[in-house]
Amino acid sequence: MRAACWQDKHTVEVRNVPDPEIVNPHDIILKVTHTTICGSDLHLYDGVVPGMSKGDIIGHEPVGEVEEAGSAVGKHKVGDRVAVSSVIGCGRCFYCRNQEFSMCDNSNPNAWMQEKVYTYPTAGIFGYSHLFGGYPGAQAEYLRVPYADVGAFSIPEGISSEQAVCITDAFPTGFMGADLCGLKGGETVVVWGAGPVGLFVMKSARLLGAERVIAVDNIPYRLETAREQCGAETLDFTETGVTDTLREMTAGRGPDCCIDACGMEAHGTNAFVGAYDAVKQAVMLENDRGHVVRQMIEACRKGGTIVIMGVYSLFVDKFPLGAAFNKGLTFRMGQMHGPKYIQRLFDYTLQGKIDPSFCLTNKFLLNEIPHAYEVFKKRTDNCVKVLVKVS
Amino acid sequence: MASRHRYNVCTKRSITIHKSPEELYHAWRDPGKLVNFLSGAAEVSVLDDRRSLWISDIPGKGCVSWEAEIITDRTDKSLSWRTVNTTGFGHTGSVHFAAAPNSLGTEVGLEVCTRITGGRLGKAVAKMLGRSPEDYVSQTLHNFKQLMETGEVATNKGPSGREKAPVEQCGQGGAL
Ligand SMILES: NC(=O)c1ccc[n+]([C@@H]2O[C@H](COP(=O)([O-])OP(=O)(O)OC[C@H]3O[C@@H](n4cnc5c(N)ncnc54)[C@H](O)[C@@H]3O)[C@@H](O)[C@H]2O)c1
Ligand SMILES: [Zn+2]
Ligand SMILES: [Zn+2]
Repeated sequence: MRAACWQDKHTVEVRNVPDPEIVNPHDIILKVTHTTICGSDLHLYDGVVPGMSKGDIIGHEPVGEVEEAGSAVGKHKVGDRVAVSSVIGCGRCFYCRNQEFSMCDNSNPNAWMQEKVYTYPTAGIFGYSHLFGGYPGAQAEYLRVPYADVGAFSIPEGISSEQAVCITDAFPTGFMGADLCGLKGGETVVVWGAGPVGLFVMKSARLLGAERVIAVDNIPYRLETAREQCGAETLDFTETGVTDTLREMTAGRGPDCCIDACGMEAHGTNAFVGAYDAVKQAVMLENDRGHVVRQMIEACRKGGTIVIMGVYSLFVDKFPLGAAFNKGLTFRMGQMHGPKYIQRLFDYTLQGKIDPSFCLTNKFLLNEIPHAYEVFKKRTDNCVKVLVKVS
Repeated sequence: MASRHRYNVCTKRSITIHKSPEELYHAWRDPGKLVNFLSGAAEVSVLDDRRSLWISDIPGKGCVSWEAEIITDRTDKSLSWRTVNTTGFGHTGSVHFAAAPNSLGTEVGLEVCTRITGGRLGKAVAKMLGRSPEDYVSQTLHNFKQLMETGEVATNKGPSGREKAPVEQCGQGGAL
């Protein structure tokens, strides 16, 4: 089959590789029809995620048809159209039984490797480094999906494959970001990053009752999308001091919830601290750039909630613990719990509360994926998220 | 009997599995089940009720074989064994099962004692290669938990565009 293989920093190649086969009884083989590229893939592309090998198949947002089903699969049969969660849960362990699928005890075959970094292993993720299991990824013609009864969901009549591809990872991540805020209605929510994940946080915060949504980014067309599609007020962090502006926009109270949808490669917002983080990241002294998290801690109201959905992998310096402590902030974060949300997001889509495909701005074929990475990375052609048609 | 002196490095780890001590003890007592989760195990033949012959792919050592002989056997509680006639990875081992608090299942403790030559340097090298005795013990426990909780051992077996590293074929079964 053809598959997108990570070669090195900034090099992804489509190559011929063997087809996957059923290995375990709960597996299905998916014939991938649609997939996409995530901000997390950009972290791989930029070489800031440890544990990648030359030739690894990447991608974690699969939609397709069941080609073959293992002997213990109960929910799916050959020919079913399904969307598959990027995060792999076994469905049986303590965490999966609590719907905390991204903390699954059992789905990471490289537990021995990952626990050296995080003490306890976390869930496997398709195509997302050997630390997260070394599973082949979804930017390929076929994909072996383990524990398919847990992670694969039949796509209801009335939901397009384009919509479904956004419900494998980006929308559930955004939704979980809003969910972790514990909104009761009427809150002011600020979202750093107006990429696909951030835009889904904004839409979800509205669905869950936030009164005011404010987007922070520096890419004009993305801020425009936030205004037009999500009813957000917008702030360009290169034009204003974000913390002061947010304090004034909330008449001295500060926002109730601050959500990071940027991750460890966030651009500097302050010339000095930004340069400090970039240099440290470049020489690997500090793996992750932390200025968005620092800014959220500064800006948040006392007793407010900080939610981190952008991905971090190792260390961040100069963490303003004193401000966080004295303001009594709550922190929520993590990889998203896909299977907890997918059916619910299908329902919102069917009810017409949201059309998740709004973010798919550019379309490519699998063979064109190296170019798709460049467009998404360089934010050309007003790209928010790409759709990759596989077959 | 292997002396402590001979097997100079002991590694102990534990894990909690959402099954009863009885189920877990019986799975470990049955070489036909054990072969599915013992890290690297490729093949086993049962010699008698206490002895079995193993062929295994041990990281850093390649394909080795040994006879395992059960020394103590306390039904539903613990097992211990030693190896004889080894071509590598001579060791002693023991596993304990005890009910976990709060209905969380069973706490399983596994200890393996091996001989690592070259003292501290040898240990450091084994660590650097990424597959030390700790990794063997840890992965065996994770495999055991995966199999008992989900019915299968998690694997990333599948295609890639990586250059094929030469793999030593160990026995007929697929090494985990
Ligand atoms: N937690 C999860 O399970 C999960 C799942 C999917 C994606 N993610 C992560 O979410 C993040 C966003 O993903 P995406 O697909 O939207 O990616 P993206 O790269 O398209 O979006 C990131 C956005 O953040 C903006 N940004 C950068 N620095 C900023 C700053 N200092 N202040 C405000 N905005 C800034 C960028 O301009 C960009 O628009 C990534 O880190 C990704 O890895 C997490
Ligand atoms: Zn993602
Ligand atoms: Zn699980």
